[in-house]
Amino acid sequence: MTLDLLPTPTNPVPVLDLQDLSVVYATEEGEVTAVQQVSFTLEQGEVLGLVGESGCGKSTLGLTLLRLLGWPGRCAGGRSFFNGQDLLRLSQADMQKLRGDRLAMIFQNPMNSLNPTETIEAQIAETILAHRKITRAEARTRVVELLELVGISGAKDRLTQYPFELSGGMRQRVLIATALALHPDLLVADEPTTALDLTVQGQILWLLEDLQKQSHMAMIYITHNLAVAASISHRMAVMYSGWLVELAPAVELFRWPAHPYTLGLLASIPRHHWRHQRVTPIPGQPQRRLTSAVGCPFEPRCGRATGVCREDVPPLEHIAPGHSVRCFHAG
Amino acid sequence: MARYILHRLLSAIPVLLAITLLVFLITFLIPGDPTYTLLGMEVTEDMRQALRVQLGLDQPFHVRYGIWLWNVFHGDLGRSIFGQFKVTYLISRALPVSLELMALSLTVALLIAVPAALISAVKKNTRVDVVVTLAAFTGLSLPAFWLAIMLIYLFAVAWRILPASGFVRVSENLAGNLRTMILPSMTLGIILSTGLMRFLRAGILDVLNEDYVRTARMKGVREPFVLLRHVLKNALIPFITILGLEIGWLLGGSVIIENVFALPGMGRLAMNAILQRDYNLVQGVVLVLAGLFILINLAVDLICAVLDPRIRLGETPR
Amino acid sequence: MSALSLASDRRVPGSRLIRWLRKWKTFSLGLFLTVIFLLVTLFADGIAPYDPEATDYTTRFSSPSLTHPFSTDEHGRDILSRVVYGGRVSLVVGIGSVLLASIIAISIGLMIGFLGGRLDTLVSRLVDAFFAIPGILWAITIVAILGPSTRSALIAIAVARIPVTIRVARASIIAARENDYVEASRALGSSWWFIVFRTILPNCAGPLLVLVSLGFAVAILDEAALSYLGLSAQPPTPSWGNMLQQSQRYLHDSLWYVIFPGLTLFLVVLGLNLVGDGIRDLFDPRRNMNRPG
Repeated sequence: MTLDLLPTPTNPVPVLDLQDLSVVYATEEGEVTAVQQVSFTLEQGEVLGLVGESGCGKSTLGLTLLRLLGWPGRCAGGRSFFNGQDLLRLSQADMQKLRGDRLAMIFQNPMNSLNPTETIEAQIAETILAHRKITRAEARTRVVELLELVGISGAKDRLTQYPFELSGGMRQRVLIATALALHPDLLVADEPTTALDLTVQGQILWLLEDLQKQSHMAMIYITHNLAVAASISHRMAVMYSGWLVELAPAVELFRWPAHPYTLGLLASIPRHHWRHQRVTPIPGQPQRRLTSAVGCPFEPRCGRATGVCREDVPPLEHIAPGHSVRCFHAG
Repeated sequence: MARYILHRLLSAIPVLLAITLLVFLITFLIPGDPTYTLLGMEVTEDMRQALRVQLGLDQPFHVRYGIWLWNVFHGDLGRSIFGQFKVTYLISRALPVSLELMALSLTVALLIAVPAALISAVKKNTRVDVVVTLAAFTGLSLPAFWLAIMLIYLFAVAWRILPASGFVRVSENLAGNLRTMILPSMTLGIILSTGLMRFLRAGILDVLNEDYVRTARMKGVREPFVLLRHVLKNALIPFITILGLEIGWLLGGSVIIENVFALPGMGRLAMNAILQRDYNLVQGVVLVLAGLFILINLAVDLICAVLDPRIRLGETPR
Repeated sequence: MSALSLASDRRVPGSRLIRWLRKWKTFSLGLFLTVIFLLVTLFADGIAPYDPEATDYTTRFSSPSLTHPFSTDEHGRDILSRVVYGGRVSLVVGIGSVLLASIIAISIGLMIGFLGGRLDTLVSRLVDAFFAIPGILWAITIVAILGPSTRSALIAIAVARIPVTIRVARASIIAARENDYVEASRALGSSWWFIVFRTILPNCAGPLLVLVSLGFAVAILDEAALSYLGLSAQPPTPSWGNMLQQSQRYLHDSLWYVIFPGLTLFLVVLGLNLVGDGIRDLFDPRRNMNRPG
């Protein structure tokens, strides 16, 4: 890269250090917890796969990290250290300086994520020009580089095109280019392939994997698909009903799952070599939890539940190096 | 683009023909004729009939319309039955007045409505929003001529800084002209702004929830630019269409306001022409007003095309 | 920059209950104003303290007082009484024109929307052409034909209202006709009569009801405008519009002459608009306001 857009080398502090982060939503019935006391750290170059069912709070967590969560959601406690800075205590102005530059996010549905009235060039360049004092021509060069980086052919012609002229997969690539324009330290990818065609999904996944390896940035990959998460992540975090219930290196999670929910998830994946065997789903449905609820969130659907599970929320405990579980009956 | 404009203009011609034919028909059906106003009631039927023949009012309908149409293509809209002024002359004197009133009123309205809608939408459900929404409601219910009279009282009677009525042409005295136009355009502008505010606020609220606004914030773009480049720009597109409709309202409102302030515009010209059964003048005025309406619609569509590349380039669904 | 901070960071104090309450407050205010208007107008004979046409040249342009709460006009006539009786003109023209326009236009609109074809195209083109000229000029034309009077104003305003009502009626029946429910009904073998009366018409009712209720407010404003121009109720019959016309000539003598008729007109129209808006909210499926980020 000819332009001086690369950040200075990061310090040895972890890229992300979450401590007891909680987020609630205001509803007619009261406040509903979306994220409950979630803690984990993320090092430079590491990919964390954040998995769970719909509504478990993983998307909310992602939005909260970038402070893009709007009403009726609000952060209810905890700290979120990004390169040593507590993001939750930053002013709007300082946060806006970090967003797009050091922190970025790509979202689930790319179809409407680009301004229909602005060109591709303008929208990618907007990220760059918002944080660097360079000329439009210099920005244009960088945009062309980025488009080639994300695998869009004929980059120069794409510059003057509008979003409606691009397919879903292309739009997502443009959004990835936008997010990575300034080599952020952390990328939050919220189900980036879910809304795309099956054939395109794989391409986008590989693209992200490549880019992450090249740039050595930290990434949180949010998905409900365990297999996808496993293929791309170093570590995995399983969420249920707003709680972090298991955290382990990817391989370890699959070989020695400890939480009943994780076990249930793994058991419910159909294997290609099965014949005439039924898939074992987890009984019941996930429920909304009011802030006033007590007991383990998974208790209603858990085969191992006992009295203590109804009364207290289990603490997150280490059971092996790098492997934590939130369960009274783990293992 | 040029071909599109030409096509629109050409397809407007049959519409204009239809409207003028329709109005000609209606004026034909109006009982009474100008002879009563010109000669009064105290003349013999023979004299009245003689005047009718002189004015060409005794000819059958299609002949009269045919003659009129022929003249129009030669740029001759005929003469007013009263005072024998050429219709084209009368319209050329009245049209600039109305256009100026409409332009000024629109400016006032937009200057009020756009910031108000933006602030009210961004600060939804706060006190500012409530005030703006109430104001919008008030404007809907406020009679334009009552507001006008109250403003006249305030500025012309109590404070004596503006004239209560009358008109000074731009060609005579620019400052004088503006002084006579302030109150009329304020009246129409204020009322128009309340209607616009409601629509724009709703449009902005819709756009605020869009994914691309979230993307813009993710990029770290500063909030004022997010609002301008992403929110407002997209909210304006449906708004411009509404604006076109509201300009039609403005045209109607100017009929009354021109009467309140004694402005010699198209509204007053039209009204007097109708009431006096000045057929030629009515036809000419209708032709011009309908033409104006078509041009305004065309302008609205063109502006939308400029703002929205999907319209400009023809959206191909992907 | 607190003024333009993250737009969705708003802390809303209201829950759904408060929102409903706020709407209910405006609706009930509107209802209150409308009911007062109706009662006062209907019982004008009992309520008006003076004969609206009784002159008294010793008390011209008096200030508001106990004997003349709304002051007096240039002929010494009591403005309160004139305003009360003036309401009758507004009420008659308001209701009359809306009813007349609605009956004619809704029938036409529903019919052409339902039948479609060349009739539909013809009428729609006519309606489009109509909009090229401002509605008030059409109304003036009708009054010119019929001669200025309350009755003419009623007909004129109705005529001016018909095209827009036709459009809404036609659009709503077309939309309702395209409804999947209609197709499903046909598949189940229902007769057309059943479909029309049980599904299509009820779906049209919403927008049409809103148009009618808001139409009252517009009709009263239009009547006042025509009165102001001298094209509705003729003197000495009082109407709010012609009172305001007179008041303009005597601005130097009395501001009250402007205020009271105008304020009454404004409040009545406001009340009707609030009621109309309340009805619109009833039919508008805007239930889900909370979207978690």
